[in-house]
Parts: sequence; C-alpha cells; structure tokens
Amino acid sequence: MDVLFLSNMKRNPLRNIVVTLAIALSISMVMVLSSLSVGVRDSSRESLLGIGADLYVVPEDLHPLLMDLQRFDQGWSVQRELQLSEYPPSHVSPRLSDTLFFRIGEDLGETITVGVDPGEETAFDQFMVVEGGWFSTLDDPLRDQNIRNGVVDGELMTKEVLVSREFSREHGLGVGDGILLSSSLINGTEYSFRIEGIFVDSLARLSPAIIVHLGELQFMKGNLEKDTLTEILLDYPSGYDLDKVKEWSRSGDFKYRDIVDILSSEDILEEIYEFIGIIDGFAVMVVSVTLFICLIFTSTIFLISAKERALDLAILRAIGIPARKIFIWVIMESGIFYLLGCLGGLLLGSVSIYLLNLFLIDRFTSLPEGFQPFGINMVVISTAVLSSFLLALLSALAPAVRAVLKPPVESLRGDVS
Amino acid sequence: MIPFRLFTRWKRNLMSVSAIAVSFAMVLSLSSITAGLHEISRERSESSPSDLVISSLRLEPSIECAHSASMRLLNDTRNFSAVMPLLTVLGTIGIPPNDSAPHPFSPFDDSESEIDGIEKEEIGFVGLVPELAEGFIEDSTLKIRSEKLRMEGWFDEHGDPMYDAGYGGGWTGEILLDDNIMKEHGLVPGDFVYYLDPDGVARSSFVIKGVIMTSLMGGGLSSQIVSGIALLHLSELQYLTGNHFRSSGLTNRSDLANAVYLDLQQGRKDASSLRDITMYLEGLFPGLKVTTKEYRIYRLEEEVLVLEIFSMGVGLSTLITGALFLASIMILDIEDRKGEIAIMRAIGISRRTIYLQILGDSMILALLGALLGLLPGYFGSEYLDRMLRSLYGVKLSFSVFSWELVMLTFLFLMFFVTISAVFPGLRSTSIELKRGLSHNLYR
Repeated sequence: MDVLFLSNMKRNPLRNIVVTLAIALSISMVMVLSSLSVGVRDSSRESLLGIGADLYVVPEDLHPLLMDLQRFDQGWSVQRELQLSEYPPSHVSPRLSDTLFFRIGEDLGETITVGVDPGEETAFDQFMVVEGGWFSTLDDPLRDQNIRNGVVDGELMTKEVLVSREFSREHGLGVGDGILLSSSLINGTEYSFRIEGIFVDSLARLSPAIIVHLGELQFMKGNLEKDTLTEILLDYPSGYDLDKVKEWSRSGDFKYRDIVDILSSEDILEEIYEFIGIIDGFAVMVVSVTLFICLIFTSTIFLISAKERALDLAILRAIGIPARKIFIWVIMESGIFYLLGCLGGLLLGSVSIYLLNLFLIDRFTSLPEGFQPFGINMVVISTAVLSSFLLALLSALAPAVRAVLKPPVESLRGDVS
Repeated sequence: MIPFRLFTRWKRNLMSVSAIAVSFAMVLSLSSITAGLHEISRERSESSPSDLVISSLRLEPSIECAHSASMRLLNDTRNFSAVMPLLTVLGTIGIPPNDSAPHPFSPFDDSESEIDGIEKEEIGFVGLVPELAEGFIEDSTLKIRSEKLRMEGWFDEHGDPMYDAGYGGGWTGEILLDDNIMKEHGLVPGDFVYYLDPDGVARSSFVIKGVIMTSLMGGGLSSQIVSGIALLHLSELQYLTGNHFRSSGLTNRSDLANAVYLDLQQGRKDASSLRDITMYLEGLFPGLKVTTKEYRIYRLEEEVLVLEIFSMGVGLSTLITGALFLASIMILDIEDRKGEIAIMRAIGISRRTIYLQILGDSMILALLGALLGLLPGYFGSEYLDRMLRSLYGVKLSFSVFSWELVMLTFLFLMFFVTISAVFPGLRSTSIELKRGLSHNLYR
C-alpha cells in the first residue's frame, strides 16, 4: 500500500518538482533569516569571550557601542583598589585606545593606537602575534616611574611597537622596520619606534592599528599624569564568584564606583543583543509570511491531488482499508514532499549563507577575526526542520480529512456517472 | 474581462490569487523600506554639510590650531566661502530640579559646588564658533555630520570671546539644547544646566539660549547612546574637556578640534581645483583626512547597499515562491483542460494563441493578486516604518511608498510570472491531439 502512495508521486513529476522547489525555497529563506541573528549573536559572543577577560572596568554608564570613545582618569588608583580588594584578580590589564600620527618616509597619517601593559596583556587573547614577537620589555617603565614618583622621563621609552597585519600590508612594513610616531605632525616631537611584531586583532580583523606601551601612548598624548584609560581587563581564577565582585564594585566599599562600572562579558553582550533584537523581529515577520505562502501553496496542491484521486481512495476504503490508515498515508505523502523540500532547502540555505558571509566579510573589513554574520547551528537547522514538519502536517490536514470524510459510495457513484 | 474559465476552478484560483497577494504585499513593504533607506542615504548625501571636510580618526580631537587655521582659511577668499571648526565630544549634562535656584558659575570660579537632586543625561556636545557656523546655516538649519539641526534661538555672543582672550576669560556660558531634553525635564530658554566632568562634578553652569530640533526622538535604541545634542562655544567646550591646551612630552598642542568644514567659492568646485585645494589642505593639516562630498556620498551609499541587497533578496525569494505557486496551478489547469485544448487545436486555433491564453490567464491571476495585495502592502510598509522609528528613536522616514514603487514591484511580479508561465505554456502547446481528445472522452 505504501508503494501505491509513492508511485502516485511519480504520476505528476512536473507538478511535484515545482512543489518541492517552492518548499525548498521557503525553507532556505527560513534558514537564512534565522541564521542572521544567530550568526551575529554567536560571533559577538565568541569574539568577546575569546578575549579571555572575566570582567571589564569601563567608564560609568558607558554604552558598549561607544567603548573606545569614553575614558576615565586615575587608572592606576582604580587598578590598585581592585588588586587590594577582597576579590583580587589574577591579571589586570589596563588599556588606552587613542590615535597617533605616523610618518614612514613620505607616507604620513593618523592611526588607531592601543596602549597596553605588555606583561599583563599576555594573559588575554585579543591580540595574536602572527609574525615577529611580542614586546621585549614586558614592564611599562614610563608608567611605572610616573606611578612611583610622579616623574616622567622620556628617556625611559622602549620605543617598541607592534603593527596590525593590515597596517603592515598598507605601508609595506615588516618586523625590524622603523616608524616615526607622534601626537602632532605640526610642531611635535616624533619618536622613532621599531616594529617588534605583526598582530591580528580578534575584534577588528582588518583594521589598521598599532600597539605600544601604555605609558608611552599616555606620555605622547599628555595623559600620563592623569593616567587616563579606556578600560581595564580583569581575569579571575576559575571558580570565582564574579557576581560578588560586581556587587562589591557597586557598594560603598569601592571608592571609584562613581567613575567606573564593572561589567561582565554577559552584561556587554546583553546590550549588544538588544540591537540584534531588531533583526529577530524582522526575521520572524518575513519568515511567517513566507511560511504562510508556502502553506497556502502546498495545501492547495495537496487538496487538488486528493480530489484527483478521490476514486482511488474510495476503492481503498471500499476494500476495507481503515480510514485512519488512509489519513496517515495522505499525511505521509505530504511529509515526503516536505522532507525532500527540507533537504533541498537546507542545502540551498547553506550555500546562500556561505555566499552571504563571503560577500559581507569582503565588504566590511572592520568585522572581527572569524566573525560570521550568518551562522548555522542546531537552532537554525531545528527551526528549518520544525517548520517543514509543521507545514507538512498543516498542509496535509485538509486533504487527509477530506479523503477520510468523503463517503466512498459518493466518489464511486461520481465515477460511474 | 476575466475569462469565464477562471471561474470554473475558482477555489484553486482564489488560493493562487491569495498567495500572490501575500507575496506582493510583502515585497511591496520590503521594497518601500529599501526605498526609504535609499532616500535617507540620498538626503544625508545631499545634506552633506560642506564641500570639503578635514577630520581626524574616530572622534579624537587631533586637529591643532583649528580656530586660528579656520580664520586663516577664511581670509583666502579666492578659494573658500565659509569655514567652520567643530569639536564633538560625548559627555554628561546635569539638570537641576525645577524648583532649584539658579546657580551661575564658570570654571574660573572656585565653585565646584554640590548641587542637590541633579539629573544626568549623556549627550553629544558640539563646540562651534557661532559667527563661522552662520555661514553654514540655511533656513535656521545647520548640518553637522549629515544630521540636520533646526534651531530656535541662537547665541547672543556671535564670536568666541574665550578664544580671543587666550582661554583666560571671556566665558559666555551659553548653550543651545536638544528639544527632547528640554521637554523631558520641563526646561525653557533662560534656564540653567550644568556641565559635569567624568567624575560627575559640575564644572560650570550654562544658560539655555535656544532649542535644537534633531532627528532624535528621545526614545528607542538611540537614546541609550545619547539623549540629545547641545551646541556651545568652541573654546568653552575645548576648555572644559582639556582640548584648549595639551602638553605631552616635548609637544604642546592647542585649540584642538575633530573637524573643519569648508565651503568652496563657486568657481573653485571643479575637479581640478578640488584636487589642488585638497592637496593644499593635506599639506596644511598633515596626517589628517581631507574628504570631498563625493567620497562621503560614496561611503553613505556603501552603508545602505548591503541592506538594500538583503531586503530585495528576501522580497524576490517570496515573489518567486508566489510565481512557482502560480506555475503549479497553471500546470494543473492544463492537465484538466487537456481535452479542451485538444479541441481548440483540432478546430485550427494556433499553438501561439493557446500559449498566449495560458500566459494571459497567469497574468490575470497575478494582476488580481497584486490588486488584492496593494492595501496590505501599504499598511505593512506603514507599520514597518512606525516600528523602526520607535525602535531606533529617530524621526526619519524609513519607508517610501510611491506609485513608481508599486509599478516597479508589479513589473517584477509580471516578469517572474511570465517566466514561470513558460513551461505550462509550452506544455499546453505540445498536447497531442489524439491523446487530448481521448482524455476528453474518458473524463
């Protein structure tokens, strides 16, 4: 009997191909649209968690999207307060994101510059050296001196710099080359730095940028005295209760609670997800309409198909096949269409997602390393498969009910007449 | 007009029309959003504030001697008609309770007093020199970073006295504040607000001289970043943010800004002059970006392109699904009408006529679907527009619904319908007479 239903599918090959194609197209669209928010969410999460920081100290009331644009002063005091607290982090990496002017022969411009404490920064993974090495001086002599006795001596500058892969490509630089850096190309002192290594920033894959010692950036920009920072990355031993640290940072015990906030990656992601929520709303709307069209389409075709085979079904009922079995067969037939459509849709969707990622990554060079705007995971696949399953059931319901409820006598009479 | 044969199988045809209507409505809504985004981009391009912009990376105030250099450039009347230095920074404004007494003070007073019940708002401060900015104001509207600021009221002091006094006096304490913040806190021109430093300490008071209307609505996602915009004298913002003078190592930098807008004289806007002036400015402001209007328009169009491609892609996929549905229905129709078509052939009706009849039927169903989908499409686009506005919290029109758009979407639909009708059409013309007639006989 099952063979009878399968052979029926061969009866109208063209119609069946078109139906399967339409299902595949709809399912692929479900997949592409649901993969967009998943991709952006997962990639943002991976990028942020990939840095390896448990907590971030940022200026108070800062929106994560403005992370590099806001600063706070007294960086060392905040850092020290954290280290001496009852919740001391195992690693504390202060950072300042700013800009510096560079001169390489005739080539001059302004570039994003990140000041780091090289020794502490090695505990985190945002900057990956791909050529050459990390800073040979792991201390930050200029900042250390300023903290110790408030004296600033430019002689202590290590003049070591790491350049991003994109920066080195743009200006044809390699490890060991020299580069002049300054805060002013008009009347400022230019310092000759040596390139120690080439890095990739996991948060800004193709952005031209450089890294120097934090104290040297602060010194060149005039921020050393105030010890201005954009953020401090904190790493805690595993098993630490981070919520307690956050709670402490909001209490009166933390002196700097009015100038900084301590956020976890989850807090930052939550704010980013709020923006991603727009994509979700849009995707749900478009997916619903697409699935609705697909449902009308397939129900109509299956109804017509059931009507065409009214005589076959009547004969089956007449020879004693139970109505329940016929009902299941009709549903199964629809299931087979949707199974094929779903497989086609998954394939088409995967290819579309791959191509869209290629296009977007090529277009937006500032996307973080490994960032996939469209992502495939079990949620995306389950959404596509569940949609297929649900549609198969819904679209076959009317033809199946009709096949069961229509008295066989009536169908047979119609045929004889 | 509608052939009678379409009524004979009205249920399936009604379903086809419904599916086409839903597809058409969705494509129309999405296209209107695409057109809206394009329009926003076009408007922003057109409201690109000036012919040339000298700018620093991100919002870093890296342009030195911005005010003095602007004055020098303004004297070059052969090339420049207007020059405006700008400093844009994010910061906090403090709004005192309505019943509190005015407490005017400048940063020169030792009056960093505690002000009780102050409410904080994160805003974007824009420092400018009023008399230089006036060269860029048209119809009470100033364009900054493609944002139109419509103003009611203006600074009493048109110059920048603090700059003239070498940052040692001449404090005006005048501010123009965003309409949203004014309304939210019940402020009126003449009221006082306070500039708060990053430690939350009030550094000076400002008296509100006017109101600025921007595209921000004071809600939605944009308000989480900035609640509004405030305009003040350039030198005063420079002083408050430490950008009037910065000493770093052996380098002293002063009068810092992050953009200088320049309008060229009418006869100097040709490509060759533009190139020469750009090179001249690059020499004058080494290491800084000098961008032309064309470049900025290109960047804006780039930003919108991806969204346009995405929404068009989604819309077209839906349209194709609708067209495939129609194709299936037409195939079914031909199966049912095999005998009828065979008779038509037998009495001498040409294959071409039969093909055109199938195509015509598809077109009629598509047309009915499009007509039915027109209103839902319109309301869908209105709904999306409203949703995006409140979500982002900006007064921008995200959708543009026009007859041109309806016609364009309809033409797209017809294109897919024509393609999808090719196979059923060909099939109808290839029906063998004998088999077709026998089909008729045994029905």
